[in-house]
Amino acid sequence: MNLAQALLSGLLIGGVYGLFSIGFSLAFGVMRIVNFAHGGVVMLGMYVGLYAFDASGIDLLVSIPAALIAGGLLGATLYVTFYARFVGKATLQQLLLAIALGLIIQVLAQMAFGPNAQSIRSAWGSQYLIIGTMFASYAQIAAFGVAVVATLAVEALLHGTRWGHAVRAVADDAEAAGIVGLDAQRINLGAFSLSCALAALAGSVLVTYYPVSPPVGFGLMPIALIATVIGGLGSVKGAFFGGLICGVVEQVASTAWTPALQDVPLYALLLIFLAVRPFGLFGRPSAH
Amino acid sequence: MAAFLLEVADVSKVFGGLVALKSVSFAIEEGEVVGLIGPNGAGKSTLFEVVSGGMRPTGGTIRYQGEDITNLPAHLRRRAGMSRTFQKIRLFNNLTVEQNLAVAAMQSTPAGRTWKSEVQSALIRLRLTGLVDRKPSELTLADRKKVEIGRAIVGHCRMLMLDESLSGLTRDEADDLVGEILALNRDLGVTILVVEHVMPVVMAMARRLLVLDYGTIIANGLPAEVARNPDVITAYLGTKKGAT
Repeated sequence: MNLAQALLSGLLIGGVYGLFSIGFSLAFGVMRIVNFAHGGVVMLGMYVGLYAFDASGIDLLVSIPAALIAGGLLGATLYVTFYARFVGKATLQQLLLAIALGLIIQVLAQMAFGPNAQSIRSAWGSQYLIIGTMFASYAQIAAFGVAVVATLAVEALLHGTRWGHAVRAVADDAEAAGIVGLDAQRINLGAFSLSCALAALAGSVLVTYYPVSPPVGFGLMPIALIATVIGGLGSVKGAFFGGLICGVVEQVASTAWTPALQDVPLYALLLIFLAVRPFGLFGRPSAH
Repeated sequence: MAAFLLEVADVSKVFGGLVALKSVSFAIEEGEVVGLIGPNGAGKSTLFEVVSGGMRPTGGTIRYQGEDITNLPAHLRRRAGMSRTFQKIRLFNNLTVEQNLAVAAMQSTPAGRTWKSEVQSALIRLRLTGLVDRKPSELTLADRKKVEIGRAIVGHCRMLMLDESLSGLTRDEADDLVGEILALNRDLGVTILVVEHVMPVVMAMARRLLVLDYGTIIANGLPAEVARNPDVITAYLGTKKGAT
């Protein structure tokens, strides 16, 4: 694999990383919830994609709405049952709760779907677009396209709609939001559901070219954390660009160095950002 | 029975072993401008929080427009027309001036009016139209205070509670803001409850004063009467004089 190919592959998977990192960043930015179960929701989204494909034979047209709905419902359930009481706190208890939920989701997935990796054998996954010496499967390209469109849609939602303004107001100051008539709990419920819907959406497109097994969810968490820190905590476009950077760094490291150590530069990048620019690319130094 | 807009009856608030409010009772009529004063630690902020919905009282009831709102969440009080500002300004710093007003207007604009026109008229009233696209961090303190008042009055606002809105302002800025606040009362009929630390300011604004000391109301009456009340002089003016 040459370097240009690594860049392309990195960019394509980085889009998907960006998509689920947006969800993770949203939960933190609005509610100060560090959702370590986020990767678990991505993994469930992958299974939703897998089964939607098996059942329908059509790739994304069925799996995308199915994943959005499943992820949103799961998010609403998790929020009401567990997270609502931790809003705004980001406490150790909340962190432990999230890790426990992530593990439980993984075990339940193992019981339901078995421990083995499964993948979709779709036509898209085995057809390639060849550009010079580079190539990409249609599944990779479609997943990237979905990620970009979803990111733009979330940005538009947050900055161009009434609900978006309300979410940003709650993120800024939940008590003051109450004082202006906003029901912060209801807005949080919506934001957390969206966060999980985005995770499941990312899973449903990732599974079109990446095999799913229950531990995949936790495996993705470092990416979400690093992408969020690089992009700036709570920033949607930051998390997306953070995801792109993670994808590219990972693939280039894997090509230029060795796949076994592909994550090392990612952690190095995390350390550099934490030391030099802890508020990330799009964060504000004064925030909190 | 005279219809009061706000009735606070026998309200108490205890934090652990500390009694912040001890059986506080008072009532405010529609259209009044009432000042709430008292020395530091008297319980003014606690009373403010309890009335605006930030805290639940330990005992007692709060009625607004004749309805018991003791356990009503803050956002529903705002939608019913009761709004407040904060002693330390709490604007939404990620939103522009216009958006700060818009999020409030969207929640509480009554049927028959549009939230956009509500925002527009509040901006004009407070002379903020030139600042609509600015973020709060780019504004002067006086303008940030105006934006916070704007955010509190857009949509449906029947009662406005101002928590030390004048602190930190220059004399001219304070006079200007007092003018705006009194105009809200005069033009729109908004009932106003102000918490103030500075006596002359509140004497000039309020037509009635409530004095809180150690969690109880020790005086309630016309500013001139209250200023002559020996209990008030001991508790508030006395300690003030002693401190300086």
